[in-house]
Amino acid sequence: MKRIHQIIVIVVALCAISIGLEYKNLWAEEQKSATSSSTAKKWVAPSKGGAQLWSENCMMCHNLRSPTTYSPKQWEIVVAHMRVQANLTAEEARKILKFLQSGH
Amino acid sequence: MRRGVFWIFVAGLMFGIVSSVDAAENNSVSLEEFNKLKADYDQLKQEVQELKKTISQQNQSAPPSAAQPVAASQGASVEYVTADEFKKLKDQVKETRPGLSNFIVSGYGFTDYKESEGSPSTFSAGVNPVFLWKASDKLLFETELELSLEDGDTSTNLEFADAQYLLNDYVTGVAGKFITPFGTFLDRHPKWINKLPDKPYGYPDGSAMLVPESQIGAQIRGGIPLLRDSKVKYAMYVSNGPTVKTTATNAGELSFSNTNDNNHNKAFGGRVGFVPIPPLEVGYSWETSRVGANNTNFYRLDALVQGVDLSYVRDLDPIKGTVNFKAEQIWSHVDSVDYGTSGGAFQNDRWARYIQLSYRPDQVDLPFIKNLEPVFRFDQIHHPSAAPTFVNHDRYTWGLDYWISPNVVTKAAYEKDLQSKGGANNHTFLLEAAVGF
Repeated sequence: MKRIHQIIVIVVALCAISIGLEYKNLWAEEQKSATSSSTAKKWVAPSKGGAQLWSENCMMCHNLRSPTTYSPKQWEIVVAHMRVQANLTAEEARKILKFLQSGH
Repeated sequence: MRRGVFWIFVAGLMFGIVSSVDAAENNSVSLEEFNKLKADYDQLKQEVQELKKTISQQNQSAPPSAAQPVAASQGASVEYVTADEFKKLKDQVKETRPGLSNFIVSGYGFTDYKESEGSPSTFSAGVNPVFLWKASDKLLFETELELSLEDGDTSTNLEFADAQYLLNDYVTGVAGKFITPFGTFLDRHPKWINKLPDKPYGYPDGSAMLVPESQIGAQIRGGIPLLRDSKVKYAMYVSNGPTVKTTATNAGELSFSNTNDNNHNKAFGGRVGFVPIPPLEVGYSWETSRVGANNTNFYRLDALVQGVDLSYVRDLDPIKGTVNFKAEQIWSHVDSVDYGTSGGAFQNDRWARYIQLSYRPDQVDLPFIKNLEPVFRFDQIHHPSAAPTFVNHDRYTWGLDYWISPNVVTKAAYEKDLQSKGGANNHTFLLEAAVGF
């Protein structure tokens, strides 16, 4: 039991460090854009492209499959299925589909 | 309490429908967008006129034998198209036929080899076709069959079969038999996704399980973006729920094999996942249900199953590869009752958990090395000490995968299973090849 608690503490600590590093990078990017543009938005998610969303969301569960695996029409069905399976928003699904279809 | 949860579920469903209507009503465009669209339309109109003119000129000059007539009737002019154009038109017509273009067969196939101490070594094989049909932009139907060899026979199982309706950008309604939204492993159990040949304890794999692979009922689910990169994923369902076993050998264990409800109470459950940054997800799952059959001494027995999960998948440049870490814990509680066994009434609490770590050096330039993925998993399942015939397990698994392509994998694993309550420790060697299609 003690060993499990130790593992949990280590995992939580690693997560905290990784979140911290991630936010530090985002903060640095924000500072950079704030100096170049007076209208820089604070604490608003940057609009991600289809390729980035595909990589971030699909890789959480399985290896990334090539856009040429399916035809553009087949991707429509697969992405509709994965939208529900992976709890994607409509916008995320639209962007991912556009990216996968652009590979043809 | 149970009625309250039911009304919360109904309110959630209504919210989804109302949001859907709102989203449709707010589908307006700005003046700027309108002007842009109008300009595009005018340009397209001009181009179509020019094209018509060009085609008309070509038809007048080209000999009739060079192309095929597509329309000819008395008094109508004959138009000609090239072979390429004809093929394209044929494909377009084909795409409008339902059941052909909006239908796809996906899934996976596998073959296993298992050599376990004290048991005969054995091969097994199976295929799980998934049929997806997109009936419209909002309606999707999906089903998965599980076909595998078992004791000389082919066993068939309907893994899931459900209809999904996209209520709005953030809410989807699902009805039918669906994969239980509990933890993260169940969604990721297909053999070409699971990093090891078998499942961790607590999940359906022939041994005692604490959560079911799929359930029959209805659910709403979706994702809601939050600040920056963060996001909330949710799923809430109502289902027939499990039953409690009352036989002497497995009294108090939950059974998920029933297709009908055994009482007038439905099970309620769900999962809320939080993604603070894209490579990390943490979640909490729960299911509450009445598990005793009507008109029996066990009618008032309630069960509560809870789980927490953590998933971290990240491509890290300094170590030239992808790290995949998973951890889950499940607690199961069934009200205490005397099943008439020698142990009498006992505190019916069980738990299972696992941690799994894998690393794939996919940024290394060596072709063979970059396709390897070592995996380690530690999993446990513990039962009440007074429960009949149950053995606790602490298991260590070391595995090595080789990825032939992103969806084709061969796996080798060695397991050391330490058993309590007089059970002999077990050593198992597993091999598996799996293909996702």
